[in-house]
Amino acid sequence: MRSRAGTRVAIYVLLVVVSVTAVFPIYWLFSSALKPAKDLWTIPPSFFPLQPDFSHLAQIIREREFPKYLFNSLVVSLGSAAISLFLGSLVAYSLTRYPMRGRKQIAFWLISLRMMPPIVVILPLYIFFTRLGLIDSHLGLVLAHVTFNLPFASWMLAGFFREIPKEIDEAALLDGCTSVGALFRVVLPLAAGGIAATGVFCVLWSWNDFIFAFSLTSTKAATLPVPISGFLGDYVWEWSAFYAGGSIAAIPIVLLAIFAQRYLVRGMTLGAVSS
Amino acid sequence: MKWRVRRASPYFMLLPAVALLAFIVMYPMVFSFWVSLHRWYLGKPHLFPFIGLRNYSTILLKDAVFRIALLNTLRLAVICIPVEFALGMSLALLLSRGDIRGKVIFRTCLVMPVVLTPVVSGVLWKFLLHPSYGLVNYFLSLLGISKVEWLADPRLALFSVALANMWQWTPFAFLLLYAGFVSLPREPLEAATVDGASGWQAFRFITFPLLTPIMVIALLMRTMDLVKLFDVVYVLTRGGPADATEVLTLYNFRVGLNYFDMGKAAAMSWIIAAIVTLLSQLYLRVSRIEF
Repeated sequence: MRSRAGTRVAIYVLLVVVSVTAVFPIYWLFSSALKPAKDLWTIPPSFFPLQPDFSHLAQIIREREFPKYLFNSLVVSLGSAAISLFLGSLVAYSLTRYPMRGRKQIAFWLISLRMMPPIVVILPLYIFFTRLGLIDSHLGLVLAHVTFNLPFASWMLAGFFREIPKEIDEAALLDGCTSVGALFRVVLPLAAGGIAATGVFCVLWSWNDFIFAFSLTSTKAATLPVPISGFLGDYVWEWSAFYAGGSIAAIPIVLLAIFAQRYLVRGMTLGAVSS
Repeated sequence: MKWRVRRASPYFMLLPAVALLAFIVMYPMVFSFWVSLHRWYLGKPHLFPFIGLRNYSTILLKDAVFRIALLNTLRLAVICIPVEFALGMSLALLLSRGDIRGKVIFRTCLVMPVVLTPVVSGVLWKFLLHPSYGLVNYFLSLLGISKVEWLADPRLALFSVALANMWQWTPFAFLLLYAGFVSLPREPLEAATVDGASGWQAFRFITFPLLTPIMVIALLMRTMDLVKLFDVVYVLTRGGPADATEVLTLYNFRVGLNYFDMGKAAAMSWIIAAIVTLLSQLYLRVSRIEF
């Protein structure tokens, strides 16, 4: 479909306006992290940090324990992703490779768990974790995130495994491979792209989670969103600390997602729509 | 012997995951349902009287805040979803034209809000909407509009929450519908154009019906997300001013982990779960996810 030059220009203008609206708040976050505190409240606002000032970043790193929270976010998201990918690939393999009884029911049970509202699980986990001493521990939060990541990973991986012809691993089984061997030596390498995408999504859900982290941790195992929400006190808003801390939380996940954007729609719709 | 191992092996492979989920999800859920049938304050653990379904009836019949929260969640859905869809659809239509360049750059820009940590986007919007120092009011002042109290005015607060939501999720509607567009069969559209259909007619009678399943999927997905909405409202308004932005999950959280009224909180979480289950069953039907 070709259109007149005027129409095309109008379309480009519109697309640029939309892109800027989408990206500008994020640019504002990153650029404000580098502004000296006095430039945060000027009218008219300063849009470019002409003299980058790293003191806020340095301050939250030194005084607000941000290295610890960053470490916690990494441990919890990688930990829950690793457990979910490992156990999930076993589930996905058995669901897609064996004409097992109850296969369908198990698959739908898993996806229903993924859609379950977190609050249903959080209240009892809060009570159990308090009794077991798992409140504010890495293990506790990893387990809490596994409650949504394991069903997600199993379901997504099953989708990816189904796209690999069964004949390939049946050949491996005939050659004397065990089923676990066929999974690890044949199916996993072939599904590498899908597994990576599933892993990225597990990390994304876990990294961005607030309600589990906020309910089940306080200081020791808290992930980045918890201290960041704390910058908005009842009396004081810590603007510069937030811009710096928010950037630390946002940069890794935005970069990761840009690399995995081909799978974004598929992950977000739990495999219902693939892009 | 070998044959038997082969037959058993799928169950062995399922076992670790199912056992783990039974332990960290199913057992807690059963426990929570048991709690929902009792009156139980965490501060008074020894008092645990069985009261049947009375927690449920109190919430559904007598709890005014619950009703407000339910209504606000609905209102958010009614404000956000149509706007997200209309904008997302227009963008997808524009971008699916053959003669537009730079699609990848544009799409990458739109991916960013979707994946931004919701707490970060919530606080960011709180600053952007600040009455004196916020950028939004600065731009409005250039147009001659004076200081708007986005979050403190009870009539505007819910709309401001919706605004932050729409900023984050309109790109998602676009990405989804764009994915739908790209995968549409070409022939019906070409046939219609050959037969002399106008652009609007082709959209109205061919593209739109073909996209309906995807739109229903997105609609249900977004509604479920809004029922589970917590982080953005928590940082933007904490449900205030005066319950103006109280939503289901936030209220449920407060009853449980601030008032420690565990019986009532557990019952409420099951009511929310019932709503979500209804939506998710519809979702599975419509998306024709097969297994």
